[in-house]
Amino acid sequence: MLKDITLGQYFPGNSPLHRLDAMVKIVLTFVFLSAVFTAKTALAYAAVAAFTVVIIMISGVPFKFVVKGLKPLVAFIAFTAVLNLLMTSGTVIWQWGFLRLTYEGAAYAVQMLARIVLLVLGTSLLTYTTSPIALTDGIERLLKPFGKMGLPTHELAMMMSIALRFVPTLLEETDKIMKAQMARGADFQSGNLLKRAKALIPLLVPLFISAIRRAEELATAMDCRCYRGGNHRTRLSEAKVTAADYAAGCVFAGLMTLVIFANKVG
Amino acid sequence: MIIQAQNVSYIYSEGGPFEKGALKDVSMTVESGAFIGIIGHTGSGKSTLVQHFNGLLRPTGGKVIVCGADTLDKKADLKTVRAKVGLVFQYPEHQLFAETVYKDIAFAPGNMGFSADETDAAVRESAALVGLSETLFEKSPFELSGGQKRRAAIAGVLAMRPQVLVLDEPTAGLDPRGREDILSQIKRLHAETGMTVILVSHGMEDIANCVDYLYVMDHGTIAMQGTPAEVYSRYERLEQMGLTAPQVTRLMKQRYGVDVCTVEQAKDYILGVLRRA
Repeated sequence: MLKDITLGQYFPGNSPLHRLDAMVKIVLTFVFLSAVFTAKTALAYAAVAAFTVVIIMISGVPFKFVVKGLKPLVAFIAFTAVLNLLMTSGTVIWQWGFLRLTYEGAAYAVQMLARIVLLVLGTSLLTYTTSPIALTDGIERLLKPFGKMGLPTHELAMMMSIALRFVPTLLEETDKIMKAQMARGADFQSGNLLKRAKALIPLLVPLFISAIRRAEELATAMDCRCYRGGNHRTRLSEAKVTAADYAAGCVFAGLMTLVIFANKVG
Repeated sequence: MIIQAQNVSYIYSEGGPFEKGALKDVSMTVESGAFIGIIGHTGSGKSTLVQHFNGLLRPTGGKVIVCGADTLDKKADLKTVRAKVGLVFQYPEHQLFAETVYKDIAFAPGNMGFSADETDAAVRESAALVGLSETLFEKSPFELSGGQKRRAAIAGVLAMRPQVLVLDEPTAGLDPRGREDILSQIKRLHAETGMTVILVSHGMEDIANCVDYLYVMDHGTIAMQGTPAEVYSRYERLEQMGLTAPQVTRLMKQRYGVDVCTVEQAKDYILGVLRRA
């Protein structure tokens, strides 16, 4: 049941997007973010939307799967839309008490809706096409300049990759303990808030214990293999920025230019 | 019959990238009072199958009928089904959570709506059934030894007074002594209470001298079934599935050409041969 959350998962594949360097992909994601926030006119949004559709197609991740990632955010998106719709001042179409519907509000709500959906779809492609290990490696390389200023970049990246590595394990564990307690008649789904919070104790206590046990085991295993942090470590496979990465950079720069241009025209 | 699985199929994360068929067209009938074994290689679908027996998983194809209730039926009361079929998971000690052993064992009967007196009786009775001393009741479950933890966890399921007890690899991770203890306890439980028991295992020797009937699972299907002697006599087939028959079965088959599956039976046979000679 918990495995059904697709947002943030890695979708294994071998598309051009999967093969791009992780560090470059992180930078490109920021370029994409800026493009979404720069867009102001309908034409500019259309350009970003079309671009998003094309890169999803290139990534080989099924549309169904990407759209499923929006599911946990539906409530948030709907809430934002309604808030924008009713709380913006301007030419009034309809009014009831302090709630009023305005042209500006409607336009703004649509714009925000488009913005959030594009943001989530575009950025989720980063995690869909990059394995957690490659992702943290990319972050470590991005942060390298800060290392000179005393930031423990390797340690930060290592902590992140361990955390990411254990997400599926802990989800599986949660699922297992939940089932074991349900087999003993535990009920996680009904009752009021207090009752539900109390029902979580039989789930959380074993979960924490197993997490602590796993952390201890992992620490011992790392010690046994003489792990000693960032300095003097070498890599088995050195990631390199290739021609394809530069080409992808040009494409995203093109998108940015297009959006600025579309803002001027439309 | 108490549990009936009809052409059950189950697919994990249907439609996702990690979609995985775990069960394919599995049919099985469990009679009341039987002692049944399910063996199979890791990933053969045995754990998935037993989770269907108390409605934790619902088949994506076919159906499962437990004590007359179809688990796919929206109106079926799954809580009652879960009370009737006690499922002990692999490494059940990982589910212990309460401050004291007593409270942990009392968790299930409390959930099932037992009165305070009934709960107390059920806790004492189930602790006795698994051989857990009452002097441990006020201890924290985390202070117990590995074997005691497992007993406490099994008692926690037995305390619901289920009609069927399903144990998923109850001996995994125990030393030979602990394994022997738990198995003889389960055997005694079956003999004394007449409870229906389903034992899931990948260890062959474990199961040979307990169960009446054996199902062998391979790649989500039932590959073989029969009495332990029948199943183990075809040990070449078992080996193809990555399973092994008890060593004594292989020895007796090669030496004397007979089908036995326990050391006891082998002893009797050899003594018989010697007496005749």
